[in-house]
Amino acid sequence: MNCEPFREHISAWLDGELPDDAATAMEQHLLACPDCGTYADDLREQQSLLGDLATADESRAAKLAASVIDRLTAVQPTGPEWRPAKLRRALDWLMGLLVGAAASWLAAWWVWNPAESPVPDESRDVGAIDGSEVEKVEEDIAPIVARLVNVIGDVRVTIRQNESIAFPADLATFLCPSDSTIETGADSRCELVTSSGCVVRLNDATRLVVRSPSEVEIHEGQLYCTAPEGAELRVLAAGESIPSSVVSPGFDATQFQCKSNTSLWTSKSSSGVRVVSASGEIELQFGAQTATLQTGESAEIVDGTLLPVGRAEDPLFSTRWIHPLLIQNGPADGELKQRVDDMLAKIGLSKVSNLYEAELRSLGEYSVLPLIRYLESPLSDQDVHRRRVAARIVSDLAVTWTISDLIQLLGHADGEVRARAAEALARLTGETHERAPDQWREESPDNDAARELWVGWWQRNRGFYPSLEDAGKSSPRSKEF
Amino acid sequence: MSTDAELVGRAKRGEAAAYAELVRRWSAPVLAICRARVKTSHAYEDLAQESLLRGWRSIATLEDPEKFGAWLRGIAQRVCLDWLKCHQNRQVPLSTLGASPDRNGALIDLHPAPSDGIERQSELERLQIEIDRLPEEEREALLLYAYRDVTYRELADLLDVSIGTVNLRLSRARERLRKRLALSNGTDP
Repeated sequence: MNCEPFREHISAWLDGELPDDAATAMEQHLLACPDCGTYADDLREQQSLLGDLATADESRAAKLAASVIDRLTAVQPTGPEWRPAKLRRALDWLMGLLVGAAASWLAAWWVWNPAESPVPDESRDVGAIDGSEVEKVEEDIAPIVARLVNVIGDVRVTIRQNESIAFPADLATFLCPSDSTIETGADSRCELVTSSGCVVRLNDATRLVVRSPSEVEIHEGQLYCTAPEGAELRVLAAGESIPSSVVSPGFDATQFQCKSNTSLWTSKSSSGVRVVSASGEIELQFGAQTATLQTGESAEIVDGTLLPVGRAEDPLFSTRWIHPLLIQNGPADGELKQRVDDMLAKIGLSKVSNLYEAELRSLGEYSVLPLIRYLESPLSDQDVHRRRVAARIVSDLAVTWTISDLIQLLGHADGEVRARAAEALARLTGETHERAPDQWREESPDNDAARELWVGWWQRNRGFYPSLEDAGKSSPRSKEF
Repeated sequence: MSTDAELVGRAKRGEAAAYAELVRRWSAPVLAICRARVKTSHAYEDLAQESLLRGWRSIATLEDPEKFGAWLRGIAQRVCLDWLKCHQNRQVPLSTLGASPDRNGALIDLHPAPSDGIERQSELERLQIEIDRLPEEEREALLLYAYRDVTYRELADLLDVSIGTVNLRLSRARERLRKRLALSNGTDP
């Protein structure tokens, strides 16, 4: 008897949170399975103990409430007017102790940070502030020009000198005023959306200044920028000296123009700057010199010289550092799907095909949905090798929220795809419905009967498996400004 | 009975009685949140008080009254984080916390128990130790669920996660506790 799907949900059943049909199935299973019955009894006993623990704290909660209520009249709420985050937090603390204190007290605290504070607020780390609070922190300082929508690892935003804010990975969003400096640490990434809709992604060890919704300035590191329909983004390369031979009035900068519906990636180091057109036509300006890059072309400026435009190495592979950012938006993200399709298209065409397969696998479960969509599409009819690579990866990496898609794949015309889907289903559910994965390679009427069994099984058991939404992967962070 | 959002609206207009009602409703969950963050330290009661007072002081900045719980949780988390930063070098290592009834920070009343309650008291102490060993997210979900009569949906809104994640955190927490309590009882988990 396969108890695993039931075990995972006994806790929810005890809490009365299972849908009726799943609860009925659970009750039937518990009647038939002594082990799961004992398991349920253990959890019931544990819940009883937890109830005692909560009861023991009830009197504490009541005393706490009374104590706080006593103090409410002595503590006045601050006004609704906006204050910078640090000042507001400092005031929050001080208001409890020094209602009406002189401004000099505030300044003194700011400078010296008294050690006797019961809960000092000296930290500038806003990591624990909820997103809604963060959103309004800095919006009145300067025009808001961009929104930090994805953060992985250590990212620091400096709004003005000495006003630096460090971000944890789980912060929902942050609004950046103009001239914000964004820096990523080692193994870190982040993604901005400007108010004009342009997307700017930073690789690790990158420093960028956001000048305006249509202009950013890279100081070091790597960027991947995309301008949507109707928008443009100018990328300035800071500190790139323009030789007198090419400088002329009005042409004193190195910049790349990402026009409507185009993407570029650029890297800048002390030795020079490089730009590649990831899609569409990118204009480069180096002093008075200009160049136009088509998709896949690159240009380099080294030691004050613009080198001839050439073919870039595969931009798809060179920009794979953006994948951790894409998967933050969930497996249904359109750009992620496009990248998976593009990588799949490279398989079989290149001597380094295995690198693309490795890259697809490195996306883990996030590659599974795009690969399933590929297998379901007519595109997969065109190349048997790619189709089977895709099926193999799906078989290895599929997770429970793809079960219904895997059952659909049991009806695929290619027996190898059917067998791989059956392998994944057997791994995820412990069920085969009396048709082993290898048997699915055959063309047989038994396939239809077994598929019907799978469909019926899924209708009865879907409540036991998290959906894409339940798995917390279906809600990409909003990129609306 | 007024909703939280209605009480928030009145509190924003300076009505202390409205915030007092919110305090009555939310003191237990805030205790649970602070307890989940700082574990067995006695400071969790002070931190919960500070969190609720901060909530009152900054109630005017709460833009979405429907999200009072999540907003208050954010404040409590920040208060605890600040406290932990200040006291991280003074934390008592878990390994030094035995099941001794006089250990520092015990949360259960350890008044002499009636003879038939001694075993229960001992079980509660073991449970308390094992809760402190849980991953923080699981500990918070477990305590909030135990301390407040909420559905998974309400808990998901409070924690800003999906219902599936709430289910996962609770079931994993309970499974870990079950195994560890069985081991400490000398039985087969």
